[in-house]
Amino acid sequence: MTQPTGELFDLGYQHYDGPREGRMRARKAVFVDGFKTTLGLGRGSGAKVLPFLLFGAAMAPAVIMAIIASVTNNLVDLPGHSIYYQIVSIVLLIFAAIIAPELLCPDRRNGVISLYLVRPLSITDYVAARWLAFFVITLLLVYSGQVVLLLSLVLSAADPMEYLQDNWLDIPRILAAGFLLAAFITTLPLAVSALTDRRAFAAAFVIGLFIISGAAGGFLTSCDEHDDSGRSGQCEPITGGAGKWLGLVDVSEVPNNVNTMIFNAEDEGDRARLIAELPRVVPIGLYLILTGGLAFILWWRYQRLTV
Amino acid sequence: MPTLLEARSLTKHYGQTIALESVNFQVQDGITGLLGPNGAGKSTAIKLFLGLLKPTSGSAEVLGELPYESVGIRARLGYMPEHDCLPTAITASEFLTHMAQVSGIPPAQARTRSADILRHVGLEEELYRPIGQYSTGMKQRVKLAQSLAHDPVVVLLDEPTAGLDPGGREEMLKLIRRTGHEFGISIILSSHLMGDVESTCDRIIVLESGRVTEEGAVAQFTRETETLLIDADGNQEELITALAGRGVTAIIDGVSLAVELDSDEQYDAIRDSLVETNSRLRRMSLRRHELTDIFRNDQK
Amino acid sequence: MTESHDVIPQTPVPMAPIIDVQGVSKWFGSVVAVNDVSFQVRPGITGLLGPNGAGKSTILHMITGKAACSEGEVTVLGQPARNNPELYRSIGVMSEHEAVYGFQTGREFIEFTAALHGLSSIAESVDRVIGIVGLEDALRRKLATFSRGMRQRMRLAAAMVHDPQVLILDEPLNGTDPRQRLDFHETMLRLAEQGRTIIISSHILEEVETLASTILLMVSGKLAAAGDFRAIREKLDEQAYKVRVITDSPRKMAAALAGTDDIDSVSIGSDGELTVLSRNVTALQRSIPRLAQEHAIRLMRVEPLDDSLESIFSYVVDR
Repeated sequence: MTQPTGELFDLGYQHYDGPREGRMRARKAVFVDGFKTTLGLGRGSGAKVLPFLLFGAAMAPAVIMAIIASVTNNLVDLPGHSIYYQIVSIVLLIFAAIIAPELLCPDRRNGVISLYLVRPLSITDYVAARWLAFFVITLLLVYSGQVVLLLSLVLSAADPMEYLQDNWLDIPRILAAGFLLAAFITTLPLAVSALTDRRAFAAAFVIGLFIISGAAGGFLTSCDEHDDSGRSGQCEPITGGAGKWLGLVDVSEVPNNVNTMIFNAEDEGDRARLIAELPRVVPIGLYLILTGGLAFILWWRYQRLTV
Repeated sequence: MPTLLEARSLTKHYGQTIALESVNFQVQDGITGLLGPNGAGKSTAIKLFLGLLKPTSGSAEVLGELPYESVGIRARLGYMPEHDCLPTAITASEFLTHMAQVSGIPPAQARTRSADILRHVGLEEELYRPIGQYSTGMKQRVKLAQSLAHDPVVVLLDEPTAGLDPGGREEMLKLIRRTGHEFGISIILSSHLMGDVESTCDRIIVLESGRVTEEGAVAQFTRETETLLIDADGNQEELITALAGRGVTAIIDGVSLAVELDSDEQYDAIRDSLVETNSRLRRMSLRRHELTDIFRNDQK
Repeated sequence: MTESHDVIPQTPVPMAPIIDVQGVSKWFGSVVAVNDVSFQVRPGITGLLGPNGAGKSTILHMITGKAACSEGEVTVLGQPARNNPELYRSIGVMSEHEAVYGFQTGREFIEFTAALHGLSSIAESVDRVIGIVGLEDALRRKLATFSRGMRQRMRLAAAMVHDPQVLILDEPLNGTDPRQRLDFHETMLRLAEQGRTIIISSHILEEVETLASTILLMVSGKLAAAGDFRAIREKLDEQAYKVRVITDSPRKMAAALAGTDDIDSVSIGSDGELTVLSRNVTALQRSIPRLAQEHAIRLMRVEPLDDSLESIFSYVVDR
């Protein structure tokens, strides 16, 4: 006969002897958290609405364009990859203006940032991880639309292989332009979010900036009349010779200016045509200065953060 | 084993303002109270040890390393700020799991440790509701929990009972004592409430105008004096006379009588005087020094 | 032959209360924040205590006329509290959370408040209250640069600038350091001596214990206890008093105490300290010296363990 036995387990506090992964784990955690915040994961169903709506809005043009492409079958000038970026950039700018502040503003507003600052990661790690999370999502968004478009163009072509051979340069162009677009869309709203604690202000500021600079850019490059060849003809903008420079004022078009260059596309709009007259260096330089400058503001503001 | 926390000629200036001037002290195991008037440099000192600020000169070392420069040592530090620092939309469980990972704990272990810590601080089903719905008491517990989830060597608590009602305050103090004594984590407690410090801390460091003015065991600061205070209901004058008749001098001190004890025999004289005057003895004990006395001396 | 004398009453007639709360209730929808509360406040310092959510701030809002009563009425200095702007000349209020204009300097803030009260001699009033709270050095600095404790004192000064008869202070000690609390203590005692009526609502019981002569303890919207807290303790029948007794012969003393009717139990600790539980504390207070004398025991310490305000608070709240 064996004695019955019983055990009492120690549920008290235990010290932790497991692995400690230091800074790399911290960066990953902030990155993943940024990823989840952007997509509204793990934060209730309400938070998912906007991201998924915008995802749909970003994909829709690609899908529509794909359908048009397959139906019309080269009978019409195909809406190209460049146009897709132009269209989707508007959607994405709105998405970014509203959602990017979620990554930075609440942490400062509710004081959580002080808890990050006393952990084994630098403030630059924190900002970089948040930036990267948003950038990766934006990049995936723009690329997936392009993949859909490319696939449909290839598959609806008379000879898919020939189409690919003729147009293989599109692929590096898509990648480059997408990268530049995503970088701009990520950096601008995050930089603005670094400057105000309130998400609504940040979002309103960015959207307001796009609308106002867009309207200004359009106005400053508008024409009173076109010559007889109609819309595709040249015309003198109301601001005269300075018009082509003033057209650069439209902030929302900064990545598109470069995008058009990459694809060597013809943009029909007055403003775009005027800008095409400028030396190539100008729109590229503007993009680099603006994006770089905003990135610097973002970094610098967080370096100066005190709690 | 290097000293837990050490200040070496620690100096911090903000422009013209001197927050800390060449401060030296060491903190070892146990629960240490950090006291001082507002503006004395306490929060500056805390921020220097957490790596939030860089010293103007001198050093603030944690286990021999400089937290401002050596980011890694912060994995062994815990901090419970006085101000609000919790998100509202996520649950305590998720928040703690995330913060544990930001302290370097891998995800799976972060999840189990968070659940354990939240249980230890007394949160139960609330764990799975968003923090925005918590009461102040529950939020303070979450704040404490996030400071412990990664099993730090030392935790800095800044006014941990602020905003809590008396019941919540008592529970938080119990939790702090448990953390220090049962969990074996060293604690630095910064507080304006001497009651909190007396009931939890073993040692104190007092900062005033950027310098250390006092340091030592709490027991030393709350030791008994030689003055016996007698709280008796009844006629005080009669009692004084009865005492005088037995050779014991008593003077009125507020609602009590104070007697400077020369010898233990006087206890018997006091006892007999009480019986003679039919007084009701409410309290008889030696006056103790109080931590508040530190601040009384140079009141204007 | 009889002469008419003025009849001298045997017991003094109590003064009319300064604040009179009669059958007051307040609900917000279905949440009853204050539930049929009645009490009277007289000159001196009264402590208003209770757990979070007990209704303290709500009742203070009704006393200061900021909120209407759903039921019952509040009278201050003989007048209704509500819709009575004139009354603010006599009441000074310091609420728990108050935003101040960060861009004002200390002096400007107090002057602003003085002007709002329509005071004629602003400079003197300001100097007087600044002197009381001791912030002369900070007058020129902007409020945004103040620490919390200093802001508290400024707000206290502003609450007193018009020299009110009645002061209502909600958590005035938040963020104050020990020295500031000692100063506050002195200031309050002085104001009370001048005959003012002060209500202090605070969670820091050890401060209220030394300041307030009477307390009002609210639990879940109701008034659970009122008056002198030692007297309240005596009414807590179900809680035996715990008293520690230290003598030179613990077991003899324990045996002597056990032989009386005055105690419920006596236990002997490892270091010879006796812990006595008694429901008849007045009798016990006499018995202890007497028994010690009878049995030639040297009595060295008698310490009540649970008649502090803190103990009373938890007993009442947990009832």
